[in-house]
Amino acid sequence: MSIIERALAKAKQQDRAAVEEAEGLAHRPEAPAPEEGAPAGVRDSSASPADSSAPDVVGAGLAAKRVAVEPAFAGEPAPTEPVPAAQAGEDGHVAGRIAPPPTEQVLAAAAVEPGVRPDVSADAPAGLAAGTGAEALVAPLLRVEDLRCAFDVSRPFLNRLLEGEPRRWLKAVDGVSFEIPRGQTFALVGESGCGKSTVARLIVGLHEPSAGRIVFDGRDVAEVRGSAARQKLRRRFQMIFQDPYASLNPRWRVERIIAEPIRVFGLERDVAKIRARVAELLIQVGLSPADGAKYPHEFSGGQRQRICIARALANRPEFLVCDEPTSALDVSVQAQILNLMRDLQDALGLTYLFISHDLAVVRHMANRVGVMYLGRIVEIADSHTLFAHPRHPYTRMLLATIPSLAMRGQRAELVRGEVPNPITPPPGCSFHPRCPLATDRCRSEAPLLRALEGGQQVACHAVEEGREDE
Amino acid sequence: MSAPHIEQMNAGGGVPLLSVRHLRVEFPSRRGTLVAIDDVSFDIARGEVLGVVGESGAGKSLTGAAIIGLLEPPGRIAGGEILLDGDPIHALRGEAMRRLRGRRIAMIFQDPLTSLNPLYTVGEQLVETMLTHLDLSPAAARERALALLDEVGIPAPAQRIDHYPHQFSGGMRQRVVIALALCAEPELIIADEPTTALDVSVQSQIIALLRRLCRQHHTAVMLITHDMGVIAETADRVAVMYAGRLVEIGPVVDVVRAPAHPYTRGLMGSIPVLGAEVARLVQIDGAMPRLTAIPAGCAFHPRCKEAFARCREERPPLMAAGMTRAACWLHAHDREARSEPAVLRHRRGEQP
Repeated sequence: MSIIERALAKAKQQDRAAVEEAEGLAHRPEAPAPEEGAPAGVRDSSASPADSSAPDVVGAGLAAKRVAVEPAFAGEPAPTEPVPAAQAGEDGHVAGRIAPPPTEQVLAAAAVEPGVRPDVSADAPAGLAAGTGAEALVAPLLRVEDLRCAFDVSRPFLNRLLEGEPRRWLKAVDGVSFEIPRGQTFALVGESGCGKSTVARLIVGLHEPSAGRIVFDGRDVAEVRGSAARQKLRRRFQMIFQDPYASLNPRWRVERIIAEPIRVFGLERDVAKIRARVAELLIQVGLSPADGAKYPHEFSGGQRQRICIARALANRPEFLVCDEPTSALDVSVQAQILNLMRDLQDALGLTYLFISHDLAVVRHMANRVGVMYLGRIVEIADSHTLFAHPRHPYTRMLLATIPSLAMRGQRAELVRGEVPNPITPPPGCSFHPRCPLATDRCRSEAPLLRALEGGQQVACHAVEEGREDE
Repeated sequence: MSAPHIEQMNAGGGVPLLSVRHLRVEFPSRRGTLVAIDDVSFDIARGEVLGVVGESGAGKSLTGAAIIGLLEPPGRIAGGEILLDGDPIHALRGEAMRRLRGRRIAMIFQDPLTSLNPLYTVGEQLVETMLTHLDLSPAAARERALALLDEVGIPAPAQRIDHYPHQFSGGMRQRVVIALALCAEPELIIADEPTTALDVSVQSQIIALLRRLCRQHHTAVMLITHDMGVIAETADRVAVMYAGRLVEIGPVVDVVRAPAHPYTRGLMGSIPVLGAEVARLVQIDGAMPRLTAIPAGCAFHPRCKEAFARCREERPPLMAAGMTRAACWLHAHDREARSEPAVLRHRRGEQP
């Protein structure tokens, strides 16, 4: 055997080992997140945090949970399709709504007087119109279970061969679980590189997860086969991107941009009706129907983000993934967009996954917040609990470091270090090099998310051992 | 239309370190001259941190560029003067400006990667800057570079001094840039969005570092940012800019707690605050006008809920308004001007 052949064989072996290792990591036992928002019938008692360390118990727990969950969905009516656009157009509201009263007032009025909400019943799926408040939630609209995504960041094959380098994986998302009840906003917050945007892209299907499940309205997204079924599912969620300059085609007129989802999903074929729907959407986001004839460059950043929102709403989705929707905007424009997003949520019963690095924005928008650090959720809690009683040292650090209008010049240099390279994360708890409470256990053993009272979940040995307030 | 008087904020008297008087920056274009900065006047005292805040396009970065002589042609200073320690610097060209730049006024840019030369080690860049401006031997300059790197909080500076910029993380790079700005002991640092490219946890470190070093070296800072939180935590005074004009200037506590100009009030209300739970943020409808279509009178009047006739006709100068100074007719002493309390809301939405 020649030297080259031998080297090739060795490299292949190494590659296989690396792949196996990555896959093995993907199946590493981890505590399943207790189903906080779920009703008592769905809650699975065997998956309590106490016995989650034993892998076989976890496996059994997961199986039991699936069994327990599925009947709950079976009892429900099948996911209702949105009211076809044609029907919505025929009932005469579209023409009526083109008259240009300022949208925000219309929306505000609609939110205040539930009687005057023809828009809502037309825009929201039939099943949703019955009630959009928290009392209406039966099962979470979206549930993410142990989601993982590893990117291959190895050097090219020949380099690996010649330089004897192993394959390298970037674990962008490393076992993330959460759920979002209907009509609510769940926020993921964290610094750059923590994997929050990857989670967003996994959910809308822009990346393939390495492991884990994404369950939308009771159906595992990965198990939906066939392009027709897939499209039916995809139609129910949409995404708003961070950069309104990059996410609009500069050569298309705004009306064509907004009508694209309607055409792609085949919701409407009649040109006049599409035009009416586009006009209605433009009014809904606070622009004028005449803006449809313009090109994106004629608009400011805030207006472009409104166009992005109008496009996202075009196929009447129930669920919007918003990836840093305001971080490219000035604060006063950000306030306009955040207010608009809240109004639309109230009026259309939308569910948001809101990704942001800005804790103040998250606090303003979210019902529940997950804090991410290096691919993992380190703390999940209701918005007011998280901001009033942060438990994880990282959450506390983040909260302490936001420059705020209130506390002036009080902050010492209490934060140490920077986010480590995600390709080579520190062993144990990945936050330990920056953590003031780190012990030997933190340096060797990765903490699992454990439930505390009040629905708060924290992945921290110090919290578990009760030494976080030292 | 210019301000009748300019405040002397240096209570102790004497000449302020930097004095900008009626600065006007123009960009000639085919469709006429665009006035990017229109009659802006302010002072910075020695050792003071002046925050300059405003939305993108308000002219805050251009003001910084005009001071340090880095206006991109065809932009030019068309009027007013810039005095450093009493000496006019706005007309300096070529070699005279180069001697000043880096030596007496230094600049920190937003992106630390593009402000460092990727082909030289950070040590070489520090030494080169010092040899250009200071009378030092190369060995002494290197020693000083080491001390500076240590001062800005770079661990193991003896090894790091021979590393290239790409070997540093974003926060560490910005520390190097700060060391570079400080190395010739300038009197004024213009920091243009120094933390915008950084994560919040790193941002707070950089801000604390900048504040501590400037206090120690008694360096004045003009801190340009869009983040009111950064200003609130760092600056002594704050200047708020809108459409190329200064709309309010005053001590940071007063501007944050009791803003006098309707635009500043809207700006403060539109910032989500961690401590307070509000259903809706205060929203300033519309957008900042483009330079081609700046309205007559007060540039803010089409978006202002308190605008009246005078606002549409006459541009307000900076006038005393509570503890701050604001360019708003609401604070005019001749109260008869306010007899017409018409509320202008004829422009809704973001139509410019």
